[in-house]
Amino acid sequence: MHFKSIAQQTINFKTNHIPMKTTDPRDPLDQKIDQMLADRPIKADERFLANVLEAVEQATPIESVASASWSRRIAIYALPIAAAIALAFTINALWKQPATQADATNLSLIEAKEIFELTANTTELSLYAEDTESADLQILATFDAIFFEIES
Amino acid sequence: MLTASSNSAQSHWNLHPSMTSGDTKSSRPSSEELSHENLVEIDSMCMQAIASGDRAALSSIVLRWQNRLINFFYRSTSNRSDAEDLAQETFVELYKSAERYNPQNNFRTFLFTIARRRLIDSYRKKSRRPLTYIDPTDFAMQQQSEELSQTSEIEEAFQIALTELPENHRNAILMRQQQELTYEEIAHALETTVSSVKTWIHRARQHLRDALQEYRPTDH
Repeated sequence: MHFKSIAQQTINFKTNHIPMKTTDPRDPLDQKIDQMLADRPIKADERFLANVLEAVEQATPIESVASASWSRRIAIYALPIAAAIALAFTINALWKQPATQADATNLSLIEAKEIFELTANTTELSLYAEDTESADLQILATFDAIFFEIES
Repeated sequence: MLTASSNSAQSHWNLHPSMTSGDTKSSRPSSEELSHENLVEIDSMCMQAIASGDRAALSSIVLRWQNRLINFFYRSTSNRSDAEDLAQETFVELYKSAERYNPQNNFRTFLFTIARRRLIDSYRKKSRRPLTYIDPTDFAMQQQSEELSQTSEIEEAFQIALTELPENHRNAILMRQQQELTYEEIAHALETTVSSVKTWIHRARQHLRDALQEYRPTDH
């Protein structure tokens, strides 16, 4: 197993590090082909660098114009989008408002009266509780009264 | 304005073989004296500078790579004007994509990946294979009369044989022999495996050998 992995590593090393021989160094035709392949017969024109810089210069403003038009487009759409969002919030608020009002008006008169009396009695209870002497009896009487009120 | 910008650029990124000095560091070696690793590092630094909008760094890269790139395209198009146009487009694309360049990656691979895509785009635009027309003015051979005609003939046959190759085979053999890229770099640039690259180069060489058989140099 160990030898197998070493052999595999050796194969990998040979594959990765030793270039395949495609040329017979003794063959003059191969040498000629290598020479022609390596040859660089063309020399860049003197104006080449200036031309490249000019092309870059031309390409860059187009991009900046493109990005400018992009931002302009965003600016154009920003106001309507903001207005739409504000409108959505307003509509949402209006939707919710009638619902709460409706809940409030849905309370019956009896229920309202009950709430009022419960509040009043609870206040009374707290006042009686301060008086330590008759507190127990009065509390019971108050509870009776509340119970009576609720039942009626 | 452009010329001024490029001149100021050269003072900062002066590495073209024709420029021996003039950098901010007076003891800086010329590009011939720099090792391959140093040049790779400088190209990588230039790319980072280009990403921040430094045109000077772009000038430096153009001066260092223009001949190599033009000759790479020339071998595929057989036309000097097309080769220069493609090289120019590649540099513009390099400038635009500088922000995407990862300094951990190889600059040559990055450059030739763009170059290859430009070439593919140009084929698509023209909707045809590379030209087989050979501009006679492009072969400015240094040899004298008879020798010159003999050289031109084999050069012409060589150029035709190159254009007959499938695109991947031609790119692979040119990147290896002309541009001296490693198999791994070629595999990255051509978006394939190292073994495919080796196969393509082998087949390309075989085709060139067959095509140029009649020009086999005679042993004296």
